[in-house]
Amino acid sequence: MAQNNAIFKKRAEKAPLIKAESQSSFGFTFAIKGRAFQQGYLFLNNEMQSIFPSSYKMQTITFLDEDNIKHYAVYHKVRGYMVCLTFNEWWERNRVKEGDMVSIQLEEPSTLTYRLKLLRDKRHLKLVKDQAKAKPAVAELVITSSSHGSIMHDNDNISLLRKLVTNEFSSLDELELLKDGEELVMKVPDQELLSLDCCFGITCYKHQIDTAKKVIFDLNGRALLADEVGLGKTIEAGLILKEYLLRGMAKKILILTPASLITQWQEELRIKFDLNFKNHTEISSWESEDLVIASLDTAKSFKNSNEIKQLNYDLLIVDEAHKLKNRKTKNWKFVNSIKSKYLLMLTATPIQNDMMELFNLIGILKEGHLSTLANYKEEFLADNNKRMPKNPAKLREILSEVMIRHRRADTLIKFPKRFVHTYSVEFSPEEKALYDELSRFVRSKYASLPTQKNPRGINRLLLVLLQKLMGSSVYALSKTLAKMAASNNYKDDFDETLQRLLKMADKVTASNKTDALFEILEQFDEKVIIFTQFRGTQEYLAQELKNKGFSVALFNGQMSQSEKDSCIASFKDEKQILLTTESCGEGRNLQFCRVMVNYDLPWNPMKIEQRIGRIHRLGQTRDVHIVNLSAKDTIEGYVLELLDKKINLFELIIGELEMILGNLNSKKTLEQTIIEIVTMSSDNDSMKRKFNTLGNKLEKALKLHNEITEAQEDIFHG
Amino acid sequence: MVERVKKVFFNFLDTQKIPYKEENPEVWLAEPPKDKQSLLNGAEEFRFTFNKNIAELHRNIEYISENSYSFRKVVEKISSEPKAAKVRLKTDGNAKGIKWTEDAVFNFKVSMVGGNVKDMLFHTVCDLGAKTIELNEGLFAPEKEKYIDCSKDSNSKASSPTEILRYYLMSCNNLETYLLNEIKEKSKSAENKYKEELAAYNTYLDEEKKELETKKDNSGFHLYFFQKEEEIDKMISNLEKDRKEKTAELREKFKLKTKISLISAIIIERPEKPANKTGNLKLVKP
Repeated sequence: MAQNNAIFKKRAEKAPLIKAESQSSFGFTFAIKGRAFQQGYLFLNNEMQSIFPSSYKMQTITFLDEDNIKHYAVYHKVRGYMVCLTFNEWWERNRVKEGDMVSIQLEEPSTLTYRLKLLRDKRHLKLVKDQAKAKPAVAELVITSSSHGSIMHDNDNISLLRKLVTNEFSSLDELELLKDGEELVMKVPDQELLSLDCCFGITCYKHQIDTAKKVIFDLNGRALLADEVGLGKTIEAGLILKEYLLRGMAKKILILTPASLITQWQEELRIKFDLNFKNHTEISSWESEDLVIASLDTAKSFKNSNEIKQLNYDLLIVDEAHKLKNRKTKNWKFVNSIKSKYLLMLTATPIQNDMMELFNLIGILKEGHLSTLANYKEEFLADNNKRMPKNPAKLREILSEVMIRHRRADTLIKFPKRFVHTYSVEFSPEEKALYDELSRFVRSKYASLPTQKNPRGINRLLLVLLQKLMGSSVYALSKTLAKMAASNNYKDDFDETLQRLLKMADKVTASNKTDALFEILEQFDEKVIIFTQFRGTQEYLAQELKNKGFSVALFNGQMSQSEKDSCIASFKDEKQILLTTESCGEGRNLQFCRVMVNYDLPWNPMKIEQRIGRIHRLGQTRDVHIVNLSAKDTIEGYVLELLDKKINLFELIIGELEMILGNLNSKKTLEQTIIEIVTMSSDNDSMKRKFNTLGNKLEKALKLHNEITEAQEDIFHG
Repeated sequence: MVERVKKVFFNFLDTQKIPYKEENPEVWLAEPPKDKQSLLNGAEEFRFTFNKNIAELHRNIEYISENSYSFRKVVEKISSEPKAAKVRLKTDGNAKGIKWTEDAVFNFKVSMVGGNVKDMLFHTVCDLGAKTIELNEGLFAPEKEKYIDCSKDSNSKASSPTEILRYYLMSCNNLETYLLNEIKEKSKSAENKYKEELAAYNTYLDEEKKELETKKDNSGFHLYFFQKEEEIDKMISNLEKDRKEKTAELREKFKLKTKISLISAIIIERPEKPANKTGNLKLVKP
């Protein structure tokens, strides 16, 4: 649509707005304005038309210029304009400029021949200006059709005719290509979605298709998508945005999401909808890119907001729209100031704390839809309960014009159950000693290192990595320490402690966690995905599993596309185990497997949710088993307890975690908080206490989430 | 359908001089030079397939179909450069003694934008000798089997610019007449939507204004009532500003715009037919 607008705008810019500066019964003068005359159009007001008497609807007119060169024009009497294919040659030859005066005088009435003259004499110009001052009321003309005001003719039409008469021909192949291309894309069904043919790796459910159709065909493209969590609001938004793109109704699109979801959105749109959105770090300006995704915080920053507010978007999508619940905030004011024809706001919880939040959200979408603030308060706000409306049925009716909400129960989609099995194993004495020594080293070193990333030598990131490696496997830790010892980069830092740690690691030969894994695999005599964060651990486990006689397919980010494809195919067809690092194919269909093992645990719970999402997703028909492995009294053990016991992470619906973590109201991610606890605690007891405090906060966040979810049910479904 | 899509896509790559090869069965790799990369998603290496199952399995491979975004971009690019051509109808045997005449064919794309987008294709066949115009649905492209490309033929007679212009304008006129009912209908529906939305918005603004005026009447009780009054006056004036902006915004959103684009034009030289045409306009309703 932006493109279409641009075409119309281009046309308007080029519109001639001719002013007849002087007029007699045999001719007139006018000032050149815009490019219409150069393009070959001469638009005439009623007085001008009287100079061209004609009894035909269309009449050929001849112009003679200063060099006596003839210009033939066709005068369309009904519409009051004429077209000439050679005006531009005259224009070029005389180097006509904006503001130049042109005179047209009748020369030979019998042949309807007129003299065309460029007037550059200053005295004349002055005279003309004086006349213009004395006679301000002159007709202004724009290019439109007389049959209907809405019809516009493309500016390039005349250029093509010019090509035709100046023998600038194309080949027949090119003509056929154009015909075939246009005919192929022409079939746009009225009430069906084109986008369904071009989405991948997903089953579009009826409620999603219904939502897309309703938004496009009934709600004029402005809606609050408020499905319960886990029903695929992103898919709905993807379908709508792709549909608008394919129908040519949208060209410039901006998606605003929390920073933590940018990559996920980008990936989903690329993989599921073949759309390449760029994030704000990949663009040179907001104006030059049509498909952009950014975090709300980045977009609203002083540096970017002014530019964004100047632009006209065709479609704006705001994910986690409940962040716009307060109209006094910068978030609300910024999004409300973005100009966009279509607007989708996505949230599962339009009301979190009170009914005013709903009023504010709808205010951005369709101001006035819920009437004035005073009326809304009087009509819908109960005196004693901020979260419940006074008149829910009426509110629901009004909301149905701007909001779409589905419940899982309404969709009849069967969500398989999840069974969580947690194995907490004891470290062997050697492992325990190594763990304690390493943790002490990390704590003591962390505070003394500069915060900035140190390109050479040991730095904070590396310390955190060592701690995480210990939680994964001693083999991976040992391999990294050995690499550090051999590298010149760490020559100065590789002190006695690290030497000692390396020796201790090399002495560890057995792992209780690996033994536990073998037991698990024996219990599940079927296909299993084992996740680990580290290549070292993957290498180690691959060897151990093969030694035990398991058939294993390896998947990691360093593999080429074809290697990845054949790996997944071999897992599907023959191998029992897929041993994978985090990069395991987003969008790949792994639903044929229903057992996953977390051999180690990322400190970022979103990554765990992504792992679960590989097998527990719409389309999975069997119950799913999630097995967690961790060592007792270790960071991973505490993290697992936080996520499992405090917020039931392993049983949450995909998407719920983000909402719960949002209730923590912290600027730090959970992983950043965990890193702080691990590195800043003076000893193990202090660390435990801090984990407890964090656990309490998570519990409160979950409680709030449950209350909010219940409230949505009461308000929107009664 | 797939074969037609393939043909268009490969032809496009050929005309743009973008090299491509079949890398694996049903998977092609195009390697556009730097200045052509923007035509294919800005990619240095553009892998594509016309088989949805392959695209489903390999998500780094672009799926090309009549509904795919990339294909539509390609067609948009093709159509952005309107084409003109001159052809001659092939004759059987001796062409001596044949009296030749000309047809001008104008291919139009009509886009109606307003709430929804509707595109339509038409072509007019203007018999310059018999002075008739036929309006047909769809596009016309001369088939190589029936026509000779005579664009480079110096013997070919030059067409009269004014005649071409005249027939172009008459074609536009016919097309507009044909479209008028649909345009009126769509305009009316868009206008109704506009009025409906505007009325709802105006009711809201009037209510807001009324509330503010009541507040202003009661501001006498306020200690700094003059300040309060000024504040409210400013708010009321902002409301009026909003009203103006919103009206323009809604007008723009629901205004029907019909764009007529001439996407190709062809002069056809053909033997004159026996004079059986009336010379009147013949409008064939698609």
